Amino acid sequence: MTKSGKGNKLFALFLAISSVVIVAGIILYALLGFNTAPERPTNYTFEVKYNVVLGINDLEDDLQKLCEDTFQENGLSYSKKQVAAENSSSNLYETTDSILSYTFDSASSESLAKAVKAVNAAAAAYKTTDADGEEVYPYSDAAVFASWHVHTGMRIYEYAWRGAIAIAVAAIVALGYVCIRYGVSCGVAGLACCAHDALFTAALFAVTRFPVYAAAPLLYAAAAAFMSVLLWLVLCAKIKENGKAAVPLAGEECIRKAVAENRKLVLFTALPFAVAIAVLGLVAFGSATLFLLPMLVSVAVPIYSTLLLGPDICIPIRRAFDKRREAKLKKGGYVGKKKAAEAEAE
Amino acid sequence: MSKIKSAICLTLISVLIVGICFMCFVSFPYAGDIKMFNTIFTMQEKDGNLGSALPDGYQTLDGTARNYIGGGYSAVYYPDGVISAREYADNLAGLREAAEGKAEGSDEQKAYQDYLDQYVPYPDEDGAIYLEREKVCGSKEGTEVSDEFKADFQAAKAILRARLDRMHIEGVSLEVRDDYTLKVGIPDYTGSQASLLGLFSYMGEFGMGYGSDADSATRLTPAEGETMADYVKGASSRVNGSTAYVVLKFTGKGKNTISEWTASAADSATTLFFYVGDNAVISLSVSEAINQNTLYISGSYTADTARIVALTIDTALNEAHTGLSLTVGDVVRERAAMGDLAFTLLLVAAAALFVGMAAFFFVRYHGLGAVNLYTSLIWLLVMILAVWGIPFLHLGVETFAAVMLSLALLGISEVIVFERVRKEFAMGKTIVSSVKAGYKACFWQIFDLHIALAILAFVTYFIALTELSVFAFTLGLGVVLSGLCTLAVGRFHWAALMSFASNKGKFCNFKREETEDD
Repeated sequence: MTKSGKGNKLFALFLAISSVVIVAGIILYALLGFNTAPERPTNYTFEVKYNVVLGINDLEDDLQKLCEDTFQENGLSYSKKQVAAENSSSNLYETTDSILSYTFDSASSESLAKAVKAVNAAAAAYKTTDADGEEVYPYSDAAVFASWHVHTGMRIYEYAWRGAIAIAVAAIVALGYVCIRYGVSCGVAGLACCAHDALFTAALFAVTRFPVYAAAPLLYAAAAAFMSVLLWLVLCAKIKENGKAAVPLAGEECIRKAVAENRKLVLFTALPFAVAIAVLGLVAFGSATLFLLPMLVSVAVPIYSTLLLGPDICIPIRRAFDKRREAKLKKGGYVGKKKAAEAEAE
Repeated sequence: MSKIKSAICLTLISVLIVGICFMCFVSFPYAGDIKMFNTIFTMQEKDGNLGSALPDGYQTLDGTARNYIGGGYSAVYYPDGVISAREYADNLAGLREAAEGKAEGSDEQKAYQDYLDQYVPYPDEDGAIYLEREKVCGSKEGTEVSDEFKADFQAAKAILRARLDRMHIEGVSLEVRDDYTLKVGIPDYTGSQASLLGLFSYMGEFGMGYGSDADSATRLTPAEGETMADYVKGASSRVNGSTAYVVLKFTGKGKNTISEWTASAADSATTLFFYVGDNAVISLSVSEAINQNTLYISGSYTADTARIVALTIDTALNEAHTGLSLTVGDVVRERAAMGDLAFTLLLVAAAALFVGMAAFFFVRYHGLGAVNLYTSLIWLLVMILAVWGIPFLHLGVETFAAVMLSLALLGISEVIVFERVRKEFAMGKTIVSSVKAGYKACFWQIFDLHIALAILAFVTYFIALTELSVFAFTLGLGVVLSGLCTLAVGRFHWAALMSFASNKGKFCNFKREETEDD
């Protein structure tokens, strides 16, 4: 009883923690959304357009050096560089023009404007002599033109609400199956854990303002729901096993024993998933790491809910169902052969 | 299973695995080095985050040359009255050249001066865009953007967002650039990018007309207090076999109008035009009277183009429209957002995990490691072929994550079975009856696990969109295959491989429980 009482006290504490995180997460998401810094919601680009003449004169590297030296002089540091072919808008065939583009996560418009002026001026002034000794202006001939731009990203909404509904409906349907196979108490507790894990995972990212890709929190929530169902089913199988043991255990005892004996099993079941995500995230360093490593939260949260929340949600439901069955038995009502035998054993 | 049967089965399976591995991972030239056999991973479509270079001379099945797969395209839409600084500089340089040496007050000088006066740089003199004073600022002398233009730009932005939202493309992006231009990013795997970029730039109200050509056609003018929504309910697309349709649904009034227009079509053919703004989106030649509520229009549409046309019409009908037209400029082929190396590194990470899992099984279960290796190789190759063969799947970080999660599930399921059999063997049963009893004992646990997870994944797939949908489907597929591989393929491999072992307990690294004699 003391053990059970201690468990209940801690359950209230865990429930309070979860509730606070989830509510705070919902409020912060409504106010600020997720921190989608990796998507660079506001960013600056410095673009230099030029035509094929620059390549013919082997000056593409020189132009890049000119730009990068200019950035250094103006205290700018870029996060991404790309040379891309310009395409025709009618058929997307490549044209002979190219765009050298630098992306800045943060920059002042003054510095960028200075850099644009400096590059355009240097490009216009650059001259050399050809084989006949005549002066030529290769950058001007290549129509080199620099400009800077500010970009503000916009959210695409439908993805988010459809994703949230999808996870909710899927969890209800999947846990409906658990209800049929393992009883209502396991199904309802599983559903509660699943909802908790998906919400808690998404809320954690909203509360901590951890930088994530825009589409990532929903994926993490879905992965948490997946792990939640998996770990809860592992526990349910053990609860069922205890119920069917040579000396069948009563409802509450059955659940408590299954949890006490299978903590390691739950951890070992979650371990390969954590290893898979960690290896994938660590080896594919860079942007993919930022996408994958936070998914470890989707493994950790279901472990917490399966071991610390689920059983205490399951027990009162089980108890209520047991009481109802007992009352029905006392009244001489029909509860089914199997259940009557179970009640007798208890 | 007899040794001969086992040997034959394992040889066949090994040949199959090697063959598929070859297709997946090895490129080689053939036909006298003229042609190149490309691996499945080379040809597999990638999302906007991943990408890889293609071999020189690579052509798709329709003969289109490609040098890169993955990444995407970006395009900048310029509203009417807004031009880039480069365009302004080019135009001005042309006019200056023409005006040089001409007399003061000549047409050339005037044109040059007019052009100078016509535009104002935005946001300041170093700005990247130039605004036409009359159209954007509301007057020839204006320097500030008019409220009317701002409202039109907001409406154009909303329509474009609605169109992109409803396309349900993973990795699509929309940005406001320099406050008054719009930048759209679409991934490479999307079909018909040029049509999408072109048609989505059409703003303005939906309209209908008939005649011989789009410009001179008689256009329907809705009666006072009516809109085009009183004539047309909406547009959608449908694919039947290899034919794609744009479906237009008319109201009673719309049906009567079309019926009137086409009443004499049997005698003299006419063309029906459906516009968005001033752009004819559909031209339909009619040779007989049309008297129906729903019009199925086929032609040279693909599933993608039909969807794009239908969406363009439907949003023009049902969203707040604007007269502001957009021009597509600066289309750029963007490379993978996560860098060219990300795809290779993800493959390396996946391979490392696979090898790690195999090593664990060999260390813990000795010979059963081979059972796991065969089973997981078959699982992996089927997954690769499925991702390659299913049209809406493509490689992205979420696909990799889903594949790895389901591979972990396969590993766990096998451990559950192996441990159960180990328990049975320890109790003194023969290995054959241990395997039988072990599989029987954990069948329902494995079945429940996989069914519940597959339900979760597939229901999510059916409702969710884009990244989550791809993740969920791949996960669901992996879960189903994991279940099949654990319960059927693994058991078969166990039977086949064990027939070669003289000491079956040692082969599986299983030990009997030591019992004390009383």
